[in-house]
Amino acid sequence: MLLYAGRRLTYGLLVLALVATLVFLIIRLIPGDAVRLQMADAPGVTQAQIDQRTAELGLDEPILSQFGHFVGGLAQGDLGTSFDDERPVTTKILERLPATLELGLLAILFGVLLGVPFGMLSAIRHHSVVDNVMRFLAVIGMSVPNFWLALLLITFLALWFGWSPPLVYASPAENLGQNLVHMLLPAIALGAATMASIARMLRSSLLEVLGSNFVRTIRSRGASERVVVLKHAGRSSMIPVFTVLGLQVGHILGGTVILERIFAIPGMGSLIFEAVGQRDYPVILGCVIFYGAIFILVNVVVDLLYAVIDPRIRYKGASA
Amino acid sequence: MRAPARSADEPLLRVEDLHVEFRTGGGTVEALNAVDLWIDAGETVAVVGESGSGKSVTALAVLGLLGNGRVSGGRITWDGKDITGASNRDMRTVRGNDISVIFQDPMTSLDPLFTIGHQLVEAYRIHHDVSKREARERAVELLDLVGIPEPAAKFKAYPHQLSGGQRQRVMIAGALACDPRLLIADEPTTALDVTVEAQVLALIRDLQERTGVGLMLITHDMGVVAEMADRVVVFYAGQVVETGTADEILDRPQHPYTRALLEAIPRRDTPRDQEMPAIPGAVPALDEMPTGCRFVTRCTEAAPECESAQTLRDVAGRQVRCWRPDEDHGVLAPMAEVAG
Ligand SMILES: Nc1ncnc2c1ncn2[C@@H]1O[C@H](COP(=O)(O)OP(=O)(O)OP(=O)(O)O)[C@@H](O)[C@H]1O
Ligand code: SF4
Ligand SMILES: [Mg+2]
Repeated sequence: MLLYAGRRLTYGLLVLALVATLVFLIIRLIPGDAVRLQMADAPGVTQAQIDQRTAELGLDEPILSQFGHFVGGLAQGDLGTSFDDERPVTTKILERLPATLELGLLAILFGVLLGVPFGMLSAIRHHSVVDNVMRFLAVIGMSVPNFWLALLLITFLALWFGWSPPLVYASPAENLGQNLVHMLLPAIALGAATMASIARMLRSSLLEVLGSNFVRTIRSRGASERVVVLKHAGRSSMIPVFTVLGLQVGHILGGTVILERIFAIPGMGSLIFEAVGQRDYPVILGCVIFYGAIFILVNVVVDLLYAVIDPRIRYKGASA
Repeated sequence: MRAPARSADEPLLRVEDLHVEFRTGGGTVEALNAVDLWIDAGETVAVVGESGSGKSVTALAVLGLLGNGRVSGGRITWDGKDITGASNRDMRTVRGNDISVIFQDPMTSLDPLFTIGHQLVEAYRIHHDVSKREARERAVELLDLVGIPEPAAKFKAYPHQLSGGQRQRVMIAGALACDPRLLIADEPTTALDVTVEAQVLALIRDLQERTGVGLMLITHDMGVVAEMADRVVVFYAGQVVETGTADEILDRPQHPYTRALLEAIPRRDTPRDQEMPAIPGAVPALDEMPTGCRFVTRCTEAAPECESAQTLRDVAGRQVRCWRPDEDHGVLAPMAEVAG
């Protein structure tokens, strides 16, 4: 069991290392350089000053040795300092992490709390009006981009109810009420696709399980539909739903970048957005590594959940 | 005016002129068209017939588990009570409690995510308001009853940790958990290999003798029929075509289909890889079903009168759906009856 988890984690870390390397190279290919962007507004900047700043940031070194420094730092848990304000990248990210985690968790919560009952209802009443409406909505939910949905929500709420989300962000510690009100719309916009994917996946997996032989056995023993659906079929149909959820975490993390911008939420998403504008390479890399680590961690947890749910996976994992 | 072989008392289960339809993508199909059978308490009735003839659908109809199908005609009576089209709520008190079932495929018939002990405890507690501990004791007792070694330890095993034969034993244990009065075994050994098959059949027989449970045994195997059945019901294309005692049916089949079946169906001692003789021809498609005798397209005895509509008739002490029952044995139906 632990072996199984360890193997999944190792695999995830390898992927993360690969991703970090790729991003390290790719951001240096984006046109525009950090020093010129920093000094652009200052009048009368000389070439000597530019060269000096470039050397300070270590950008004059060959790319391989820059990569060497980066890996060396990483090995000690040091993500370097920001080009912008020279503060440690880790500190900057940890300041921003809570808002992003909150937004992501709220989005997932929204997706799961609505997606699961919708999917179940759809499966139990398949081919009914309710099912057809839900399947239609699910297709829309999965295809509408989250930022567009967010703008739509803002517009219509303003038009119909004269209500707009707060402009100034308050952390949950400062003002929980205002914070939640602020997070509401972006969480819904982010979670809509998750809700739709979960509902769809749960519908199809539940339908399949409900037609399976073991469900027929349980029904043949006089069990109530509640026991059949919630206990037996529900448990079996959870596995593909967890897979979807693991993948959806990736979409949600990606979505935070734009939605935090739209709603002025000071999370990691806005941090990476600013960092890309500034070509603040260490911050960009740091954020990517954090995003990647969260995604990998979630999916390792999902893998472990499979084993918790399904004894066949548990025992296979233990013997392998 | 049914066959004299039937007992005078009301049977445990009676199915009369049962019709079942399924809604499918392309409209409705009629899976059962006139199924008549009865089972007395403690009796073993074998149900035989080619694949697709409606044996399993009959079992599911009795339990009210037709899914996208429905009973479109006829009557099912349990212990004198009409249960045709009973609500799911009412049927739940019958399922597992009065009538239990064992399905063909033990590999997929248990929930893979729960221990077998859990599933037995659940089966018992559906109909018995007892503590988990009492139900556990019952479950271990059941595992012992069906011959699972070290029942207390095996209680914690998951289905995938058991062999096919052991899983079928667990299925039997679950079916008998609440002491039903009728056990429907739908080809209980088809998925098992020959030695295990013999053990499982011996177990069913033994349990039947001990508990007095009635048995509806759906099988393809005439060897099994000869060994276990009191009576036999022969299905063809959604109808019952012949019913009688096992001896009568096996020794003096009246319906040409029964005779063909006896020649075609392998006995248990036939090696499985051996080419088995099949009845020539195929069951007509549902939209091409003859209006008279449904076997007319494959029958060697077919004659013009076979085109007219028919019902089960009493012939030579049993019920037969044929205008020209076996002449070799001199039990040709009187002409008057043929005309009527
Ligand atoms: N859920 C269903 N939907 C549509 N048609 C069905 C359904 N279940 C059964 N049928 C049809 O009903 C007919 C009888 O099927 P049934 O399973 O009772 O056959 P069987 O006698 O048990 O055969 P076998 O020996 O192969 O088990 C078949 O033609 C089958 O296609
Ligand atoms: S009725 Fe005619 S066709 Fe049908 S089984 Fe009897 S002899 Fe054959
Ligand atoms: Mg069948």
